[in-house]
Amino acid sequence: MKENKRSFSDVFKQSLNNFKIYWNKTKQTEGFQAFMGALLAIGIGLLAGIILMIIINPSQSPIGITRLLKGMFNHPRGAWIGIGQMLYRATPIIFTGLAVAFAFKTGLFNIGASGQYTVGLFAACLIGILDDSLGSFQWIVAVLAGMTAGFLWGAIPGLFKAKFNVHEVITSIMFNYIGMYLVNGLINSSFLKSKVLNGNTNRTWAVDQNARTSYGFFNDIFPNSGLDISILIAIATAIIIYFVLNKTVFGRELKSVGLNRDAAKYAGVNEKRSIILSMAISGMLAGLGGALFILGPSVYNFGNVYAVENEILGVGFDGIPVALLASSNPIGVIFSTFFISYIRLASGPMQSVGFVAEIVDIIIAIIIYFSAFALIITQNLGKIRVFFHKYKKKKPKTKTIDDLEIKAGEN
Amino acid sequence: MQKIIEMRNISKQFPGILANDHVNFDLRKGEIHALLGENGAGKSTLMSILFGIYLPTEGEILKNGELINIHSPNDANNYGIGMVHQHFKLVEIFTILDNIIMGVEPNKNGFLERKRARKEIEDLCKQYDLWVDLDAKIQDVSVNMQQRTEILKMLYRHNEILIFDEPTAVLTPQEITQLMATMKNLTKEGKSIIFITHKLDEIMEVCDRVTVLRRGKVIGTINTKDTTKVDLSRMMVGRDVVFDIEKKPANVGDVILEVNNLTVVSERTKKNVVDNVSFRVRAGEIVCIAGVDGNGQSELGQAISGLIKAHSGQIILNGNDVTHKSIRFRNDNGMSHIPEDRHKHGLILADNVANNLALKKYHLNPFQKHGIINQKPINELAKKLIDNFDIRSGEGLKSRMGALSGGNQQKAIIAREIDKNSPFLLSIQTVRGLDVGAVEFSHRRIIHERDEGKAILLISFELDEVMSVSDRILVMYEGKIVKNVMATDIDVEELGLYMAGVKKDIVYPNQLSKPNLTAEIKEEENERKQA
Repeated sequence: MKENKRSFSDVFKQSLNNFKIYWNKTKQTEGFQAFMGALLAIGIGLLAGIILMIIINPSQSPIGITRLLKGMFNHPRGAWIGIGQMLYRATPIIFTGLAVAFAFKTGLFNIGASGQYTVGLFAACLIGILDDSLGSFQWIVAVLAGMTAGFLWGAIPGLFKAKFNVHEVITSIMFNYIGMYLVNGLINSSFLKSKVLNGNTNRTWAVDQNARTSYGFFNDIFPNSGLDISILIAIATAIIIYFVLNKTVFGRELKSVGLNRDAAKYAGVNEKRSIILSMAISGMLAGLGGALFILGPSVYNFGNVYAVENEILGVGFDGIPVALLASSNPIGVIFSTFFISYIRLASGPMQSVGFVAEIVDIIIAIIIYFSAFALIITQNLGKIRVFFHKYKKKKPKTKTIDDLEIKAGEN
Repeated sequence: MQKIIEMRNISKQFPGILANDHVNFDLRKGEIHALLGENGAGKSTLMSILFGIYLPTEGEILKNGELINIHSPNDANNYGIGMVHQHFKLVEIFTILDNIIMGVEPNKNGFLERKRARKEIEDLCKQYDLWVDLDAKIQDVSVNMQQRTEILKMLYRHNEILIFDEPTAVLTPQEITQLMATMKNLTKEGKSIIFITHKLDEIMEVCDRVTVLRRGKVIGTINTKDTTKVDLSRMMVGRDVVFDIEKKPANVGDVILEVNNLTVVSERTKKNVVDNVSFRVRAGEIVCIAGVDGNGQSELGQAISGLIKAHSGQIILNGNDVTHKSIRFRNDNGMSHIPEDRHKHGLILADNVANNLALKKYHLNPFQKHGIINQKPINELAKKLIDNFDIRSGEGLKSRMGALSGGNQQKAIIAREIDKNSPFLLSIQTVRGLDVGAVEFSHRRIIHERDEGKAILLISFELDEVMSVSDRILVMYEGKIVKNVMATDIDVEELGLYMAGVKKDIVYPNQLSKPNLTAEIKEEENERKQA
């Protein structure tokens, strides 16, 4: 019996040791540091939000903070439906987040995901409403139309960047407006208005039943949360994008153009084509997001609609924080989006106890601000630890190599 | 003699590397003191400490026996220490006068007093025999005059300790002689000079003493008259260095590269930077394009490699007309290219060593299959090249390229391009920033490639390299080839005359040029003789 016990503790020690070695190794990896950086930023953001809430309305703050932290679990139909809602809200943001992250990885800043999302949505909407002759193909044609529209809308800023060296931020942000007004104008045009627009609500009609995305098994798991299989498509897309960027020749060429355009050109990459393609694929991802949103059956199979308002859709801009928070890692984008949509779902319940919904936006902004900063902190954790160590013990200065290194770093 | 500057026990620790290890260095009043060492030996770090760019981890600096603290270049300036950096710190669009007074502008109630400054600078020019055109803009004057401007900047600030960081790298032989004379002049007037260089001849010529650094430690300080080039290089590298690499006579084969009437028009100035250039490079020969930086050699190299478009003319590589072909086509069809700017073109610094070594190969089998990258052969290739070319890095093939020292980065590029085994190798400034040991190694590899039957086109601004490596020399001046000669048939002085544009020949691509001076140039020659 005793022997057995000892051997057990040995095994335990051994495995603990192995774990320590493994842990020390993972601690050094870039991915882990990015992850810790994101967690740290989220912590700081939430803390700042909580302090803000206490300052604004001290008496209501306990319940407000509880609701903030509960996020999606505030859902009146129960926490379970809340999860479904969270996934449903996350789906389009995953796509725009992937669009932004993909562009980031190839050295481009696609701030035009919103415009690409809108044109993708519009193209899918048109096919979904008008082309009922397609029968069971209507859905897939609508999806492809959305992707194509996004692809083209992304390719144009890419073209300007590659051929005329016009910065993509300027063109893509302008193409947000051009896209939005073009879509609204077309919807209001004489040959589309009667077929597409619901005059009473100033929204588009929902697409045909044939064109709607299947609920799949989600309606059984999360009844009437609006969740459909596009969340699975989003996750699959993230995995595909990760694979393309990291494992294929094509992805490596795009990435090398992002890291050093001149060196990529020197190595034989057609860097102009790469830039155009990067932006186009980025736009295609956003367009796919728009298409899958408008084709979504929504709650009780009402179908999603597009409100014709002269305002750029925020979902495109939400792609930027999720990409930043995930350090542009496509897989990371899924989880950062889950978090953002989790915290977004708290804004309604918070409003009912006297806090403005924008507090959530403030928290997200602080998180983004610190996520860049936090990466620096986690990368230098070792140095900070040594610093505190010294401070605590107030040891007389010894000239160890570590000490010298820190000094060198400070200089 | 009086020690004007003394650096005692200077140590400088960077993360993971001790750049200076208890270095003792002293400078006497009125001497030229050379600082010699391999790449990464700690010369620049030591001078950066003296000039206030870095703070030392340990140690002290004394001036005239008094302890001083230098925290910034401004402090250094106040203590009379000035520096001519390797890359000049001048404002291109300012006149020379404005560059000289920049930061210490003489003024009356905030209004500039250019006249007073001009008077003072003209006096300085006379005193030290340095001529500059004070009203010319930096962008319009030669490198040589830019350097004189830097020197005048130091003199105008009344600096007595002058640091020259590799000042001769950009000059022609004649200009180097001139600079040496200026340096001697300066010491006569009581200035003290620290001279950083790789070139042993220059040290033997002008320096009083030499301090040799190796891996951050001082190997010794000796009087130049008590030593020889061979001894110095042994101290520096720690082994014997062969200066004249043995070369078998060239065994010349077919034409590999044919350039016909190539013209490149500069985007900025709309001038023909490469002007109707024709030449051939054959298998088994090293052709070197010599010339002072900025005479169109870089553009010629870029046009051949495809980085910029040729305006007119034809480039035939290995039987293919590649004038309008993509860079990838050229890379895959017989061109290796060691680029001029290793950070801009040669490497992706943010990527790791393995991916950089496979930069031109990952799209080929077996490094990919059906468009999917196969990392294993890439890593194997990297391991092989790291071993064969002695590329030193912290974490081997997984190190970030930017973390390697400049010399090792260059070795990585040389390894990658030679390993491509192309019939044609274009190499621009192959050994820039390499120490004598690494230079010897690179030159050996290039000559070995020649002996294997490769056609090699070398573009170099350094005459030593031109003379020691090439079989045939083409001299480029103002975008034209003005001389085509076998390396054995010309000496450095004559080459310098062609490089400076004093002599010009008519050059036919298929034969060596014969002296055929135009009337105008003959006139100049006569005037020179009379003077």
